[in-house]
Amino acid sequence: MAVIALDLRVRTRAFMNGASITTWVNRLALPCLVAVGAALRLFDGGRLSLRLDEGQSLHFALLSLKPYDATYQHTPSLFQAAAADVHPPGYLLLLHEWIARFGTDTVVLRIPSELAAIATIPLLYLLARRLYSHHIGLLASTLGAASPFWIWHAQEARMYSFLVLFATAATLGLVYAIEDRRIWGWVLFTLATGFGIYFHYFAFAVLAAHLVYVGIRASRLGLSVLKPAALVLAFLSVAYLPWIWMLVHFYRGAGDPNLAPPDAYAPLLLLSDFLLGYLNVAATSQVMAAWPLLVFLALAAGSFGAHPSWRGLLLWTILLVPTIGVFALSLTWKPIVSARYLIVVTPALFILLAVAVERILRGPIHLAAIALIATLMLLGLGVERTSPYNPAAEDFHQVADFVHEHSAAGDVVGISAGFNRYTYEYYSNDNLPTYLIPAPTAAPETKLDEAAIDRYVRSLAAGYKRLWMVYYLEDQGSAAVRHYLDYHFRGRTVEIGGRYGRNQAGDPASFVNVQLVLYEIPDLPQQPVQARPLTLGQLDWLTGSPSTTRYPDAPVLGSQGEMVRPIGWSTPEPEPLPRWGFGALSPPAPDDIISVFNPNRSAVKIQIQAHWKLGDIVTEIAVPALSDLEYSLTHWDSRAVGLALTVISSLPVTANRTELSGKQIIKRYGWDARVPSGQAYDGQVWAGGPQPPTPAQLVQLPCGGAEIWASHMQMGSGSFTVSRYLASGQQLAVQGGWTYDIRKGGIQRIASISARQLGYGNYELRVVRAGGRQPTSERIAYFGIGCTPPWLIPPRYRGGGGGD
Amino acid sequence: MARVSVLSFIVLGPEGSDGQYRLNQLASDLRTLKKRTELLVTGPDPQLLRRALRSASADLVCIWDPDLCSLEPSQIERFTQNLPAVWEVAVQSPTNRQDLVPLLIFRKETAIEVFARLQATATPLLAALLVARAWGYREVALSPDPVAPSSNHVRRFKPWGTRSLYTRAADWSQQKDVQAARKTSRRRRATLRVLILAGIPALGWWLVWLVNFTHAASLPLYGLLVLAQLINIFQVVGYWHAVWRLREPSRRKGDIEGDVDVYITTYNEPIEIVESTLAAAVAMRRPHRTYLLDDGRWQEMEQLAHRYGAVWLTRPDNRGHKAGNLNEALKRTGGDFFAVFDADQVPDAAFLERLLPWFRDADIAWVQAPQFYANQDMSFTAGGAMDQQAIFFGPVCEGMDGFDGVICCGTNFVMRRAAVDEIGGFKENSVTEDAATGLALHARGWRSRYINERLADGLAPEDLPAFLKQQRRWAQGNLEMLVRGLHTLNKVRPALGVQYVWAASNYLSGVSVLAYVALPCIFLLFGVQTVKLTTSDDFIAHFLPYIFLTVFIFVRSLDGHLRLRSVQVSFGLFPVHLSALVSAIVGRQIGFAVTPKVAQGGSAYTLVIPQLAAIALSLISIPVGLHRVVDASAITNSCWALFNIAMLAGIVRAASGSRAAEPMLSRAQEAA
Repeated sequence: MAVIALDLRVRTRAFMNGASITTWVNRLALPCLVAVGAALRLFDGGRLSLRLDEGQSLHFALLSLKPYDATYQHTPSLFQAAAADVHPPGYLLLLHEWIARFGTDTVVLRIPSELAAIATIPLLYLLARRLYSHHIGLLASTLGAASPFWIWHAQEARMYSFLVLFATAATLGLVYAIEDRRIWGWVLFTLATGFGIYFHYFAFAVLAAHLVYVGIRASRLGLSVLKPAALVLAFLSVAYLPWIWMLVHFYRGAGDPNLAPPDAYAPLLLLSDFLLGYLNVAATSQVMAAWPLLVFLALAAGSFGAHPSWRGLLLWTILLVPTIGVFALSLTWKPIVSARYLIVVTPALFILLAVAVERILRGPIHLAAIALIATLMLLGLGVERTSPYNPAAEDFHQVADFVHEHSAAGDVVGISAGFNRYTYEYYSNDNLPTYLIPAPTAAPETKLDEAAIDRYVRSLAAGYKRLWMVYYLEDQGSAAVRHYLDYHFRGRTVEIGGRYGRNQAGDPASFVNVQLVLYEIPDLPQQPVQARPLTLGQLDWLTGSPSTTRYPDAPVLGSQGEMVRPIGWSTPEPEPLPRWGFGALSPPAPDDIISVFNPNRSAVKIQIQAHWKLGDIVTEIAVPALSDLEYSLTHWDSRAVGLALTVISSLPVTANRTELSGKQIIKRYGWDARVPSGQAYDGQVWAGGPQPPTPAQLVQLPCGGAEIWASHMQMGSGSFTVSRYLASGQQLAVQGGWTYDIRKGGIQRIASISARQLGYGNYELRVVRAGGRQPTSERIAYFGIGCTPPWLIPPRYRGGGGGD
Repeated sequence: MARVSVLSFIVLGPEGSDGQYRLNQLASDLRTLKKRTELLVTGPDPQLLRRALRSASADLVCIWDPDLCSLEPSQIERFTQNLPAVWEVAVQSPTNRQDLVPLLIFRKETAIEVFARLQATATPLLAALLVARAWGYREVALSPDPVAPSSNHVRRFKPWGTRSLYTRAADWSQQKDVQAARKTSRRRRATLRVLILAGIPALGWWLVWLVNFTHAASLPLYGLLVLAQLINIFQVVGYWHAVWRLREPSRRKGDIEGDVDVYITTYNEPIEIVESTLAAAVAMRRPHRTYLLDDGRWQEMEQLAHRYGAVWLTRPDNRGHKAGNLNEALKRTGGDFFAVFDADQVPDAAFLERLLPWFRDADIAWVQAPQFYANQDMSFTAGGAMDQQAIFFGPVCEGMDGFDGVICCGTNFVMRRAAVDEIGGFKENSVTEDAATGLALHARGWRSRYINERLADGLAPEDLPAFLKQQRRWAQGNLEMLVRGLHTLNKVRPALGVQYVWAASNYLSGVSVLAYVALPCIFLLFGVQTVKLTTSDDFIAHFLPYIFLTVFIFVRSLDGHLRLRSVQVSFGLFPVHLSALVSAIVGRQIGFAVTPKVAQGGSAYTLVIPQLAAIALSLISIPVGLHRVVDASAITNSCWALFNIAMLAGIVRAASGSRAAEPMLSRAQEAA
């Protein structure tokens, strides 16, 4: 053995050789490095837009520390939201307190991370010095100070700077604890690890590396080290129990990031990110093209690849255990490889790099090499901060400004994926209705098929002219939505973030994560029944969580017609839509609507009965969850003699400005021409009389499907088809046609169609009368699947007539 | 004086029991010390001292030779009060013995620089002090009453260098060290096997991609790349095959019956070199008779032999070169066993004791010991030669030993006479007569063993002409065996046959290197792609795991002692290997040339014209290629060209003829 170290038995205490700093150059080197590092981190910290994750940090940090019960929704506490999300609450709590004192300005939001990053530089020096020497400490901290990767995450309102700070501190504490048997080393290790695991789950990766290291050396360290190590572990486990309880109760995986599975380039890409920062794709590919130099470095590094000392073992363990673990989990469980998560290995990387350079290049030339590496890092920083194609720079500010500048009446904004919204809302200052696409009720693992997307998109887009879509391109879940919109909506114009699809050669902007696309919405006529998802503003209002600048655009009115205000909010008065109110004693006007506001996460059923002279047509509507349904009365023939609205719901809804409490309700409101003016309507079904010509009505069947009931038809016999209109063109919804033969007149069911054959959309009923008359057609709406309770249909009208 | 509360102790490994005792005493004393300390034990070689110094945590180091004096805790306490400042060195030496320096305290950085200037010496501390004096460092006494040395122990001059590759067992001749070495070896073998198992799928993944010619942008160039890679892959697989069976070090005791002859072959080597070998050979323990086989027919050699009580044998001609020399000796001697040493291989006294017991196995034909170059630090060439030997005599021979079939290496071995008689003597028709003889023996079913202990010190070729001559001979001999010896190879055990083929195929790497040098230049100069652009990313994805694992396995098999120099030297030998390949194929013979043992001095750039041309071509092609286009392909090929330049720079450096400075000790002694 070249060196036989007996130090394991005789070394009793750690040391810090302050006497080595004897010259003024040495004394000033570290403070200068820290000053330079601080300047790089603090300079221009607010210029770049808040990024996606920062918006989420802000959103969560604005939550209260206790849960909040809003009118219709339960608003989680900060802790509950963090437990349901992908990061523990430590940083969010810190940010919560910080915001309470200093506000939410971009510069202010990023200061805690910047301070943590600055503090990491001297810690890195201390660690490297303890492991090797003052000189290596300076070299390593030079790399850390200049690291564009560290600087990027410093200027980010996220927890990654804290993660690397705690990882470095924990490693330093561990070294002092087990190599030098210092009590305060254990204290530092415990505190740093404890904070670390409450700030980010990847602190567990560092802890795992530490445990592996201690395990490898267990036989040499002895019980005097293993016992306190076990105690510390036990303490940390107990300290983490409350959070584990929270995870068990609240974690659902809904907030998990959708990362791409790692490929063979991932290690190279990670190395490029760690050393040179987030470069644009062109620069990254050129950096990776220099891979032959890595082969040379591997051969050169073999020169001192002897059995590592405990120092080398510690550093390699910290470098490799999290990396290999993350890759293994990504390949076997789910993808979790991300450069920012693996920031925990960068302290070890920088120290090893400093040691490698110092040993491969003997003499002063190694200083030049370090200077060269630092210069390359600073060049990478320059590219990182100035390139518009930096894939990590998500410029929501630019997107929101563009929408504000170019939007017009009739525009609507869609956001995909849902977590985009926080940052977009931070910057948006228009009052355009903004929706999440797909709906927030869609579970992340639900694969939306085209029909579901079609229904949803039509529900929000009808009546609007243009759709501004804010995409987050890395999100796999929104791919189906994007595909649908690109295909079905015409006039697609990419305004920001690339002209082509993702990863298209020749367009570096296509790698930018945030993309703004403008669609022309096809001519979707206002449906008789239009269920729109709630806008973000309405959702925020419901949960009591304030958006930074947005207001809910469809306020809820109280039973007296007053504005129901959310807590802490003052809402503007939008233009009220004409609504036909309950208790009206007059028939509805042609443009009247019935509006049902369903803030619940479950669908609610309502029924609308139209009274005709020959009887009633009952339409049951399922108001989708988190939707605002507008039931237009325009299609009702003015010859209708009555209208009744029945709400069957066990959940609270608001119908026509009247808030209905959440219990089983069977109420009938309406108007019946038979009832003399001034008298209350008792909801009896009216029947009898001649049949005026009226269109057919689609009635939903119990548990799926629909029936076509026709009334007032003087056709006698004929045939009809049901067609469905999509943006791509008219399609036959159901093959073939039906025949009908109405002898007696009145209301008859002339067709029954299963749910499988129907989807959301506009339908046309084309009726061809026997005898060669011109066909007439009527467009009707089918907007969901619901059931008409049999007891609501007069027995004499159940069954009979028509055929499939 | 600086005050500091910590100290790193660098202790020279004790050679005597007193020193060992003092070291143990210090170790236990340090536990009771209130001062913070660390203790590192190392060898006296400056290289090892520098490694220890770098590992030291403190910025002040105390270098102590326990064989010279003891160290009391009270002294250590006083030391920490009187530690040197930046431009000082503290010394502990008795006033009446200025040449004995048992203890020095340096600034760590200073010590590293000082020992970087030193050659291996028996008194490293004195040498270091003299260097420091020459640099103007002020000496301060560590204590007013320096302890007089309790012994006049003189450390044996024994450069350690890459000793750890050989074995750890022989260091202090303790049985427990043998056991420790065995345990380490088993762990090493287990680690290597795990790594090889991980490497096999990576290799397979790369191979499957490689042989798919749809990836070719240019079929001829891609075919060249495939050929080069297949050669390397075969070499990699052969290496893994070898190290899979790494044998643990072991030792047998006892003697065997039979007479032993010791042959020292010489042909015009300098007499002082032969004298060292002869003296050591005569001094070997275990009764034997020493013969000086002089093909130069010098009278001085005869006198030398008589002076040491050896027998001088010569013959009228040099038929068969060294093989013929040995065969002639075999006819005229009668020992049951014979040991063979080249003129520069100085054996250890225990050489015969270590190797002979293995002949208790009746089917052992010979037992081989490694070659070690004591002059490895004298020049880049010598160091590169040593690095190559370290690889071969390290994991390769240990692996071959696992097959009971180490190659016969021409020197430092003991052979059974009956075995060589069975095949009619040494093979005279090959320039690598040793390997050919060994192959013939293996073909007859004989076994061989390898003892990985440093039992002889030799001399590496110090300049490039000597080195190239040696390499040319080896390359030609091995490739001839590959080309013409297949019928013999068929007779050996298959696993051993694979090893022979693999060992010979290492000299085919000239083809690979030529391809690797040419392909990037062709792209950069003419824009001709080898691999399709659309699949170049795939190339990285398939190639990198394989190459990194291969390098890692290689490094680990050498216990982390891979020197870049060794790779550079191998890389730069491609013209020699190509020339040898052509000669072997066409059947052109080269004469047996003894490797010169003394450097001729001066540069030898004319010998590296092909390498210089390759460097120049690469240098020119990089700006030309980047000027045409700067894209991923151009960058990759430029980096590959830079890699080639870095690899070829080694052989050019060897051609410069630069040698290490004279040992500082002698100059310093003059100054004193």
